[in-house]
Amino acid sequence: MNSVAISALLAVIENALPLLPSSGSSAVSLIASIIKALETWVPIIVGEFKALVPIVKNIITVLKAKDAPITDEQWAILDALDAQCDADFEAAGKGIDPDAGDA
Amino acid sequence: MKKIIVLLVVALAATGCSKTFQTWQSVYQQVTSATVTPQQIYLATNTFDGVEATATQYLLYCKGHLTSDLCDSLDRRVVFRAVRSGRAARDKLKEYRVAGTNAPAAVYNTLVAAINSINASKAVSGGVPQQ
Repeated sequence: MNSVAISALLAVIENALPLLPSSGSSAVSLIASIIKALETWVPIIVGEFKALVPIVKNIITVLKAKDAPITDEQWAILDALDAQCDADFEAAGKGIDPDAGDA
Repeated sequence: MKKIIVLLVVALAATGCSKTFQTWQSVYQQVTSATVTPQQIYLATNTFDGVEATATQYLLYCKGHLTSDLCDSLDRRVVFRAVRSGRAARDKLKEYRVAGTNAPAAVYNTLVAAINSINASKAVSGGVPQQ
């Protein structure tokens, strides 16, 4: 297993979330199933691809409190994560971006 | 792999039907006509960060394997453009959040499209070895 599988999976879940019923026992049950599955992945991700750990934990946290407002602290942590991911991507892409005239 | 399949089944079951992607997409279209919630933005942003991190792994691989079929300039261009498109949408959503106004679903949808594009690219579907 690697980060590719996890990322693809997160995107599938992300796409499915807007389709979840907003209330009722089926919604609770489905979300609980997703949370449980994500939680089983955390130890594996920790061992194999640490960059995804905070991302998966954030998703679990919000799914657990689906209707609760996102706190300022949660947004701040996410903003920092955004910046880190952007910086890592740009560093990795330096010299191999075709749009920048690279190889 | 078994866990991946289980999770995919869970995610697909969450659509509330067992039909195909077409149904999924038609339901999804309904979302595009509305504004989106902060929770949706938060989850989409996290997901984007996840696929961007995976795209980063792809670029690290390509740096050492530029002649690989996985790293053709056309394939790399798809990844770069999707990441930058998603990043612009993500940052736009942040502006709405900071301003305290509802974000239009169209911007959110651009972010989701970028996520899907990265997932469809060789960065994710190409089977790049872990770096």
